[in-house]
Amino acid sequence: MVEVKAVPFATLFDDSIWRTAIRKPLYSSVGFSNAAIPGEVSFFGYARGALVPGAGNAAGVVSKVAHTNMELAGSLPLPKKFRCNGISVHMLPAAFGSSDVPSASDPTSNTATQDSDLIEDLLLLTYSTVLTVKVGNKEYADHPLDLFPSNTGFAGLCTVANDNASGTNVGTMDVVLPHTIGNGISYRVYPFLIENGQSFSATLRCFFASPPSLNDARLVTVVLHGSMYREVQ
Amino acid sequence: MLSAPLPTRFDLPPEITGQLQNVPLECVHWPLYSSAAYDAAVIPRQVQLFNYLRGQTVSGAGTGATSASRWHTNMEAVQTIPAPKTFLVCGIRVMVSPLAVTTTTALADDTVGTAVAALDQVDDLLKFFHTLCLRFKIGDSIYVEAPIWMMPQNNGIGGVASTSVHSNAAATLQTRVALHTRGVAYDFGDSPSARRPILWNQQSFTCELLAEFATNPTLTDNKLVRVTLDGIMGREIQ
Repeated sequence: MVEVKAVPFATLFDDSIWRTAIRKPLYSSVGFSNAAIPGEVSFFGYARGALVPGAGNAAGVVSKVAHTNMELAGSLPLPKKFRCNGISVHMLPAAFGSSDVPSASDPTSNTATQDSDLIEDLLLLTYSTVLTVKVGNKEYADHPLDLFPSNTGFAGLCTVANDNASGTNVGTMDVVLPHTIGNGISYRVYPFLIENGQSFSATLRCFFASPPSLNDARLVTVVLHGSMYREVQ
Repeated sequence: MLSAPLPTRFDLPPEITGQLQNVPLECVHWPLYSSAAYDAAVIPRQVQLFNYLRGQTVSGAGTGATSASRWHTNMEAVQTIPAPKTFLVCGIRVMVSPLAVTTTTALADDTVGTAVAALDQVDDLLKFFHTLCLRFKIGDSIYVEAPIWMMPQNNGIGGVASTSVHSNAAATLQTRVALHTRGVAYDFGDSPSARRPILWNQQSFTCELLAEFATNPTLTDNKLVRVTLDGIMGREIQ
């Protein structure tokens, strides 16, 4: 991708196409079921309108804006190009039935058996898997998932409710909103380029012979942050 | 190829870009990591890292002989970088897994919700950070020799949480924690005059975790400790 001429709002490249660059993350989601974390799941391998991949989508739900913004399966359409400067992985703080029905993740709160499904699942996923991002055959990430924090979520304070009007449910909670944070692998200094037509993929893998099991069905999204170069229209 | 020069926060020494050995290298943020397995026992006095490859046995006593996967390490050669790669070390961080780790991962507080509720994860993280020191050498030169609390992970799980109390006498308090360390990073470049260490290809380096007290603490769960050399990998353009 060689720039030939630039004006304030667009750039002429050596393929005689004027392009503008906008901030536009590429994202793709996979549905996980409330079972053992699978050995391998792939992202960006489907376009919007195709079925959301993964065991969490047993019902065969068609992907929407919430799931992906890919226009083609596994590559960018001509003449688009994408310069990636960051990767983040999000497990949304909700249970996702059939990858399409978000609901509260800890429905056992306020019952005799209370647990913390959300934080347990986020712990198990974050610290048991490895993310690989490839452009063509070349790997640009092949590291444990905790090195790709989402850095997006909730913060604040919580209190514990004490329900003294109820004899059986004296203290209740339904607030557990964790997310991954921190300094992950950054490509801002050395971004990588995805050319149109060039295949790329993200793969989440769990290498354990007996992988841990999730409590709830989850929707996991991989985001490639960066600039999309698209034709001036 | 991108036409414009890429912005850099610092001038790379010629050996990391390949100019010195006349092999053009591309640079990518590619942290090197290696893990050590610890048993639910007394913390051993010394454990080596970066001394095994995928498929070989993970360092340390944890769970006996565990075969290393990508989850444990991304080393391609034992205690060195294969030619023609180079690696610019920008910082070091140490991660203690918030999960119990054996041949798989599991939640670290399985007694939560029972009559005997423990805080295994908090207890073990505290023991590690009060006890372990790290020594990092390139060739014969020591670049790091300090307690690991100076090398925070700065990655983990945050957010909002609260606890619940229930009238069920057998499960009165529920906790789930997701600990990580944070703070001023161990950054080799945070001083203008500081020079970042460079791993030349085929230059040997060692990294070890030390616990040199007369009586070291005993861990509650089997744990995994991962040391990450954060930095820039120079690799051959293909």
